[in-house]
Amino acid sequence: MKHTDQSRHRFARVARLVGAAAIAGAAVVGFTPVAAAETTVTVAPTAESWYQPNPTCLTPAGCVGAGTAPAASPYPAGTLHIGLSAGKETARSYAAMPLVAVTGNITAAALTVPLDTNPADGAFSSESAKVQVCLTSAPLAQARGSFDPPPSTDCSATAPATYVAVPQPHLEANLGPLVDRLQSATGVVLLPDATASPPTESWRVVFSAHDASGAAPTAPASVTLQIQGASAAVSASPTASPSGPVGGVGPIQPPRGTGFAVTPSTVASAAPTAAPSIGSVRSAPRQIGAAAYAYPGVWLLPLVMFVLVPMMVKALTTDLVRAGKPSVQGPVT
Amino acid sequence: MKRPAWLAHPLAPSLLLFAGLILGGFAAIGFGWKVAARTLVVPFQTPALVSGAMGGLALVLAGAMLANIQAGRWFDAVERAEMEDLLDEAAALLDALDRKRA
Repeated sequence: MKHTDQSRHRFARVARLVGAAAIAGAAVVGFTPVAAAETTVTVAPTAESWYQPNPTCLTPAGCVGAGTAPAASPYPAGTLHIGLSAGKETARSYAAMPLVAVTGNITAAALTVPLDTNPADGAFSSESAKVQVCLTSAPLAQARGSFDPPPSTDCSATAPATYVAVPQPHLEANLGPLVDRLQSATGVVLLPDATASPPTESWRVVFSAHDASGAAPTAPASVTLQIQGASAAVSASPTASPSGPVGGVGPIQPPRGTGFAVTPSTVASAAPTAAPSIGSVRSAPRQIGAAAYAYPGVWLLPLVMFVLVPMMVKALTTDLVRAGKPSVQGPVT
Repeated sequence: MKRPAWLAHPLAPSLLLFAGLILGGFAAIGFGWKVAARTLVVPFQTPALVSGAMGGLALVLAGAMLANIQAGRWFDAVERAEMEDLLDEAAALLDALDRKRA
């Protein structure tokens, strides 16, 4: 009998050791994949354009067909405009971004537009600008104050851009409402928010194209993406480089909902050295599902259950009278 | 190494286990909130809330319910033991009376 008890205890000990080894092995296997990290990538535009309403549309004869009205821009080349005059839109800008090439899951995005406040370039009352950001999935081409019908926009979700005066005047927009559509967009649209401005208000904001070569061009607009997924943002921009933040406004922080937000592990910047056509960006291969499983610890759950359930069953079926003579004060020793 | 006296109580191991379940549940709720709060994308928030909040709530409820059951078992056992003591004393009294009459 005593021999049988000893064998049983030995078997139980071996079983526990095997269980512990299985758990440790599962932990090693489960945690081997690299956990998905959140990275921050700045994407610069590859092409910009700005459009103004066709003035012939105000005549009784109606709008003159596209291309027949000459584009007339008294503003310097390389400047982009968003404007409102007496509550009516006078200019809107498009910035083509290679967002379709971004792999991984975009969890947050922010737009920064450094402003050119020089009145000689057309800017006035920049501080009272009410700009909204929409997305477009239409092919974008370079245009400078074109009277042609502008590319279609998707303003079913918009993000307001706010004017920030320091350290340098710029517009900032949290693209949170647009983040789930970014990867299917060809670019962002900046247009005046007439609904947020009084009908008598007039203003015009000016910023520089990425290839501006004027006297003192500001840094181009940029979109900062927070991306979840291992090696997610490598192909975010065809011209990505490890240089510093774009322009003089410094790196913008992605929007953070609470203090639990993960600090970006790396910051990369896209320097617009070459401007590939929108067509080439749109046809860029897009990696899907390259990210490793974000929470490999979940693979331990079946083993945890494997250990916990017998423990609970044992706890709930142990004879408490035999375990120790019950009394309110505890076991009688 | 001597175990603390309170660990010798037959309820201690099981209550520790159930307290661990409750703490794990709260940790799951906190983790779910952390994951949901760091993104604005609803498709990422939903699984975090379902797994974290609901899973955590289930763990907390299960731990509390099992602890309650175990405490009930213990008090039932105490009551049974006291009843047996009472019956033993009554039987001893009857025996003493019988011996006195004889």
